[in-house]
Amino acid sequence: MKTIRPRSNSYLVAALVFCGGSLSAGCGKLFVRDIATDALDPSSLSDTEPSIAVNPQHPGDIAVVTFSENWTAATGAPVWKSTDHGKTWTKVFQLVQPNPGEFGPADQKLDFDSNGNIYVAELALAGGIKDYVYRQTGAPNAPLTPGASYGNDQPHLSVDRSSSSPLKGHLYSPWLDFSQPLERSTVAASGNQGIAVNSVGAGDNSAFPNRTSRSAIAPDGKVYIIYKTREGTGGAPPGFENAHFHVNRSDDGGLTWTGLGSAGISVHGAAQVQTYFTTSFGNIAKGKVARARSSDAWIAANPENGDLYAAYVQRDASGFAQIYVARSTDQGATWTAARATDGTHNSAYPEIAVTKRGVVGVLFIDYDDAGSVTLFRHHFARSFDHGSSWDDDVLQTMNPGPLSNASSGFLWGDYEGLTAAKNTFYGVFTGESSGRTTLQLDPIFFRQKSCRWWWTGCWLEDDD
Amino acid sequence: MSKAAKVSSSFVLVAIAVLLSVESRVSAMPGPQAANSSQFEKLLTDRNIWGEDAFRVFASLDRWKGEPSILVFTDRVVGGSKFETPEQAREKAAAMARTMGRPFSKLTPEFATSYKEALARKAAALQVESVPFMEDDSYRLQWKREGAEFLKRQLTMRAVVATYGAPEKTTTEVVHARGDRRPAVLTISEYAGGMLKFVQSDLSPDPGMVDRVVLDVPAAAARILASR
Repeated sequence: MKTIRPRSNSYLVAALVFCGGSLSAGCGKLFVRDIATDALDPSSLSDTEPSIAVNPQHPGDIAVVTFSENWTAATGAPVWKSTDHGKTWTKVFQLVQPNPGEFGPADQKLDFDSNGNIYVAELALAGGIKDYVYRQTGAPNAPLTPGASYGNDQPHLSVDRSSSSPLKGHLYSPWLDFSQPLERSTVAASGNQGIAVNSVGAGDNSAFPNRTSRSAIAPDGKVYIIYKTREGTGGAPPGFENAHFHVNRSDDGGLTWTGLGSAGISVHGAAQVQTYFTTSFGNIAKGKVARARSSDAWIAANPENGDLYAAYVQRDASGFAQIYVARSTDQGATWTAARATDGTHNSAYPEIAVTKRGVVGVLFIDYDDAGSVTLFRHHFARSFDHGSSWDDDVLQTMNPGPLSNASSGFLWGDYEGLTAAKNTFYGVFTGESSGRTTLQLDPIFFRQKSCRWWWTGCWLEDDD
Repeated sequence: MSKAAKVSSSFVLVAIAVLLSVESRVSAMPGPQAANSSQFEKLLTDRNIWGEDAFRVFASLDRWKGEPSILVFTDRVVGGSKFETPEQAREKAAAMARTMGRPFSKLTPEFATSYKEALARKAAALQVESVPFMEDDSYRLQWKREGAEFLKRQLTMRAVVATYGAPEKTTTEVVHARGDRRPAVLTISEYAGGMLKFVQSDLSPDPGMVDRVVLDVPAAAARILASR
C-alpha cells in the first residue's frame, strides 16, 4: 500500500545545530515512549516478547506485536500501530483466529514488504502446534489473512524487500523442528506471501540439537540463518551450556541451505563458547528472574552492501556472559568477532540491526545484583565503525519485583524488537511502565537516528 | 462467712462462669479444618461451577487412585501426573480403561443425594485416553466424551469470588514447554485449604475465565466416596 506524504526537512536544521557543536562519534536524540496507556491496556497485560517492523514506504508507520490480548472466535489479537513515528499508538485487532479452537498468539514476529504491506508470523496452539504467516489482503487495518500452516516452535519472519534482489517479495520464517530426534533449525519459505510455504531443514543437527533460529536477508536476495548447536553442559557453570553459533546461507530462495556447507560456519571459530540455557537469568535470591534459552543470537545484513553482523552470547574470561558481535564481509565465509559489552555484568538477549550507512545497533539486557534486589537494564549500543567500538545507552533500569504483571520465569520474553529503516533504529522492549495508574510491564518503544555528525547527507536525508 | 470471703467466692464463681461460657463458644466455632471441609463440600456440589458430567467423574474418583490431582476443564478431565513418554501414559490409560466398566462407587449420603440426578442420567461412557498435554509437553491421562461439560463454560473468577469470597491464597506459576514458545502464566486461586484451585491461564481466549479447576483427588474421594 503506497502512501505519499509531504516531506519536511525543517527539523533537520535543529539536529545539525545540535550535532555541529559535538565531536561525538554519532548523534541523534534517543526517543523513548511507553506505547501502552490505561485506555489501550485496560487489563494490564504483560505485553511480553515484543517485535517491531517499520513500513519502508513510510517509516513513520510502525507496527509492534506483543503478547497482549489473545484472539478469540469473534475478535482478533492486536497489532500496535503508530503513524507518527511512535509518538502515539493504537491497537488494531487484526490477527484473527486462524481456525476454530486454535489459541494464540503463542509466538510471533512481524515484517513489512517493499510495498508497505504487513506480514505477521504466528504460532497457534490446539491439539498441536501450527504456524501461519498472516498477510494483508485488504486495507492496512483490516483483518489479516492467515496462509498455509507449517512449522513448530518459535517462528520468526523476514521479508525480502530489496529492490536489487531477484527474490524480492519472498518471505522466510525460521522455526525449530521438535519432531526430529534432535531438534533442527528449519526455514519455511514462500514466494506467494505465505499462501503456500515450503519448509527445509537448515541447521546441522547430526550431532547436537539446534536452538535460536534467526534470519536475515541481504540485498542480493541471499538469505542467512543463525542458530546454535547445544553441545552439553560439561565444564559449564549452572545455567550455561556449551555451544557453537553457526551461520548458513540459502542462495535459492530457501530451497537449499548449503551456501556455507552442510553445517554452516561458526561465527566464533572452532572453539566452543558457553551461553545461557536457563529459566533463571538474574539472581533468584534477589528477585524475579527470566528465561534465557533462545535468547542468545541474532543476525542482520547491511541493506546496502550486504555485510553481515551476528550478535551472540559468550561467557568469557571476565566471568560474565557478554555480547559479542561478529562481522562478515564475504557472505558469511569468514567472520571477525569482538566484544560489544564491558565485561562487568551478565548480559543476554541481543538483537542487532544495521542502518543503510552501516551503523550497527544492538539491543541487549544485563543485570546488576550488587544491591538488595536484581536490577535489569535494557541497553542500546551503537557502533559507527563496524563493531570495533560501541557507544552504550541504558534505556531503562528496572526492578520487576513490584510489577504485579511481571511473572518470574518469563519477564520480557525470549527476545525483543530492533530494526533499522534508512538511518534510524527503531526498537521495542518490555519494561517498566510510565504514566500508568498501576506500575506494570508495558511495551516501551524507542528510536534513534544514527549518523556521524559530519555525515551531512545522512542528517539531511528525510527518514520519512 | 466474712464479707471479704463472700466477695472473693462470688468473684471465683463469676470467673468460672465466664470461663465456661468462653469455652462453650469456642467449641461451637468451626475450626479452620472444619470450615475448609464445609466449603469444600459446598464447592463440590455447586452447579454454577460444574457441568453435570463432572458429578459422574466425582463419583468415579476411585478410578483416579494414585493421582494426586485432576484438572477439570470444560470439555475434559486430565490427570495431574506427568508422563515423560507416550508409552508410559498409554500403559496407565489401558489399566484405567479396564476399571471404567464398573458401576459408580457408593457415595456418602450428602453427595449421593446431590449427585443422584446426574448419575441417573443416561450418557455414553467417558473415554480414557493418553494425550500430549500442550502446556508442558508432558503426556497425561484424560477422560473425555463428545458434548460433555465438566466445568461450566463462561465461569469467571469474579463469579467464584462473589459466592465464596476472596481466595485463601493466590499464586502465579509459569509453565515452560520443551520448546521456547510462549509459556502459560497461570494464576491459581486456592479455596478449602488448597483442596480446590481455580486456575486462570493467560493463554485462554479470555484470561478472566476459569480455565480449569485442580481438584485434590484423595481429599475429594475421602468426602464423596462412602466405600473408602
